Amino acid sequence: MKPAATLIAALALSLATLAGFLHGNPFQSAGHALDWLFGAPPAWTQVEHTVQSAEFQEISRGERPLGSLRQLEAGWQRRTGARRVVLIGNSQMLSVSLAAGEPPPQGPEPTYSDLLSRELAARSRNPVLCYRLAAPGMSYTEALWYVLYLSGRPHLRPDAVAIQLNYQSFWNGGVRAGMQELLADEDFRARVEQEAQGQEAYAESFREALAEYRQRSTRVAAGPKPSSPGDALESHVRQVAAQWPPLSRKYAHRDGLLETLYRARVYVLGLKPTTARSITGPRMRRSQASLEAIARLCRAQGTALILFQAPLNPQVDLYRTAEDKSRHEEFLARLQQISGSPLLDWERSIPAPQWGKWMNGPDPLHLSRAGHRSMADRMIRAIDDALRLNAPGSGHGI
Amino acid sequence: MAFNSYSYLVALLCVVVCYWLIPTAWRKWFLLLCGAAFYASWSPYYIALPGLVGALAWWCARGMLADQARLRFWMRLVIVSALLLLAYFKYSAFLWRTLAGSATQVPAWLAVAMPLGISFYVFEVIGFLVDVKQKRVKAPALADVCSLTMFWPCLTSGPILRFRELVPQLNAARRFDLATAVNGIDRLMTGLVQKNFIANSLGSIVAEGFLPKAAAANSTLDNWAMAVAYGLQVYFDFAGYTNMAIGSARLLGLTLPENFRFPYHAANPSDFWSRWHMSLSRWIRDYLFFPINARYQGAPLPLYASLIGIMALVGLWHGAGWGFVAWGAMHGAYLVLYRVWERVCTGRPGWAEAWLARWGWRVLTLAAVTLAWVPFRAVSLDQSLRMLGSMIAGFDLRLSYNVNSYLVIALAALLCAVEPLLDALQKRLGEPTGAAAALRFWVWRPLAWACALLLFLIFDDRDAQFIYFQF
Repeated sequence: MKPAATLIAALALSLATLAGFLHGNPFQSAGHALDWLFGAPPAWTQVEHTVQSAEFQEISRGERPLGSLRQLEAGWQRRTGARRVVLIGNSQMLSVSLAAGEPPPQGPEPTYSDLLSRELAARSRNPVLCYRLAAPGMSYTEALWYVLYLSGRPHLRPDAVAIQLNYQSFWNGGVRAGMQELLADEDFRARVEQEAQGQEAYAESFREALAEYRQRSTRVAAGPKPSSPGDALESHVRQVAAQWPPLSRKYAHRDGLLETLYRARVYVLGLKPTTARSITGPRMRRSQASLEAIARLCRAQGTALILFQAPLNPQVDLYRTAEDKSRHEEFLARLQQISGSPLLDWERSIPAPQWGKWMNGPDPLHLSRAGHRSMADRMIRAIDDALRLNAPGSGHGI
Repeated sequence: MAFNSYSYLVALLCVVVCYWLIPTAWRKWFLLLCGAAFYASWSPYYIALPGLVGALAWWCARGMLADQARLRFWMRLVIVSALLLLAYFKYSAFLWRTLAGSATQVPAWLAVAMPLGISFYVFEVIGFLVDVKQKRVKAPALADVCSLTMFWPCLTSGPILRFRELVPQLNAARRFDLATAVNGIDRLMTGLVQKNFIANSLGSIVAEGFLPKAAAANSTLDNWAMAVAYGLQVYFDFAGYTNMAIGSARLLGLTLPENFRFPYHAANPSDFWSRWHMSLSRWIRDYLFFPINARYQGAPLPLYASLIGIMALVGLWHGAGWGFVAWGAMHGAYLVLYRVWERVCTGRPGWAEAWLARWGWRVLTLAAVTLAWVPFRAVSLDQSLRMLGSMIAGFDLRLSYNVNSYLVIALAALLCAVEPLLDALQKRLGEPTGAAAALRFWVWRPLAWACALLLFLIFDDRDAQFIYFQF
């Protein structure tokens, strides 16, 4: 074969292999192989098919919340008179990890936020409209981001905000790219710009988010008038490439790879989600400052704040030292003082049998079917209490 | 059109096919045209600049060759013009702020966008003229000089080329060679993975760790981790770019100088600079350091002072900021320290060869290079001092970031550590023959290329530019 033809054939073979990779899911398969090798529970115990409802949830899970929130705004505008509650939290609100003895799901599995949203909305007297703003690994800076957005939209202002507090979330930071699309709202952008100029520890995250958003929106806004001829060509080539269906799944492959690397971390290095940790430093400060800002904002605007310590598997202790625990408790006490709201300590409220297994150890965060039911009951009582405290006539939320 | 963009890969494929299909005599002109198109894809306004600098250099070179009596005048004319151009575009706003105060508004006529790659082609042109003066280059043609300044794989961030290593290759008649092309694709794929997968993954960690407020709250361990992460990010980013540049050139049958040779395995500061940004080191050595060394031979103090001065200027070449100057000056100080050690060891060969000395220098070099990355990346000198203070004098071993961040840094460091081993293993195994060669070519290589492309695609971030583009 001629050299050029040989090279073309080798390249064609590579592209065919690439198409095969993109069409299949090699990273997910590798993850499953690791699970099998290290004795993880059956995949169906980690329920993927959960309830999807645009009425009660931000369904993009933080990846494109603007559409969901606009839909919510229109919905809430129609339902005048009902009280409104927003629940903000991480994957505990989104996922179900079935415990031993719980049968496989027969249909979409509800989480506690779905259970309580349905029940509270269906009440014949004093219905309450609940909405879940949750995303995996949500940071408290992102929680503040959401609360600021809600406070600027009259039809989205809730009567109560429930914030899930769990120690490991203090390690999360920043505002994910998907949530930055809320900056399309001019009032919100102005508010974020104002906060970004401030001295609070989260101001840098806001500045970063603004910079990233501006960079992206410059290109999007440029549309037919790109910043350079190369930019225009790149946009065109990407548009053409996007027509190829396997390529549209590239981010799913990235998630698959990261998930597999995470599994390798847990299985091989033994760095598990249940490993005790000391959380300090800039991310901790940013998280604390964000929560304090939420508390101040809610208090100033007369919104009830439901602060609850998220349930934690009793088989797990995430505080590495006693000092870590007391430092965390000190902060929670300060937060109660700022907000004027009591802290609902549910950290040890769900007994061990109501927790599932994750990979090769106890699931520290995700509740089982029974756990979600129990949590829903608790939260309904907490919401009722909070709304009684914040009775109509005392102003309509933040 | 960045090397790690979809459009570049498509354009490269078209250029390579056309290049090998057209007659040999047209190829040089075709590459010149491609260089102009590549530059225009970034900035159509400055398209004439590299060509003009090349033309000016050619005109002066002709003057130098024709008028030996005024040779120095011609050379100085073009060097001063090129440096003034660089100073105007790159340093005028910085100088204004330094002299008039940082709060002062820079006038619009000074606050101009820097033309892409100007630092690189200005150095190429200066090197070319010194070569003409030293009679290493004879009777250059205008198209040849412009080919040097507009050679697209090196236009934006080097490697800094010499006229005599590129132009003879452009003028030679070459046939398509399979091994060279395959090697070119290998380099291209390596570069794509280094940039998109490794450097970009480190980039988000570094961006957070170097935020001024975050940096102020970092522990000693965090600051070391961030400095290491940035050192690795710069390395994989720039080495990735260089691999793509070299790979693109190989597809055209051209060989470019290497820019990196496992720099973090350097035995001492001097060795580091023979492994890091080698084309820049070579330029500095040949056109700055050798003349100065010759001038101050036997007078160590002026030599040491000039060494620190040269390295501070190298820092300034990277960017208009005091952090870059501090980075350069730190490297200058390391080089001086090593020279002093060499002087102390003169006549005592046992000292230099001692196990402790050899490993001590290795560890010290790695630590010193890592420390120097702090001012290079920090937002201000104040932040640099704070971070360096914590790294040198602090002992706070808390981890402030998610454990995944430290794991990513550790994985990248491990990869960097085993690079020479992998290279040595590859060389030891040699080129397979027979069935093994066929298996390698038709199975392993397409699989490796497909994996590289997959990583490139899934970690694609259109906003993540190459770090050295800003220089």
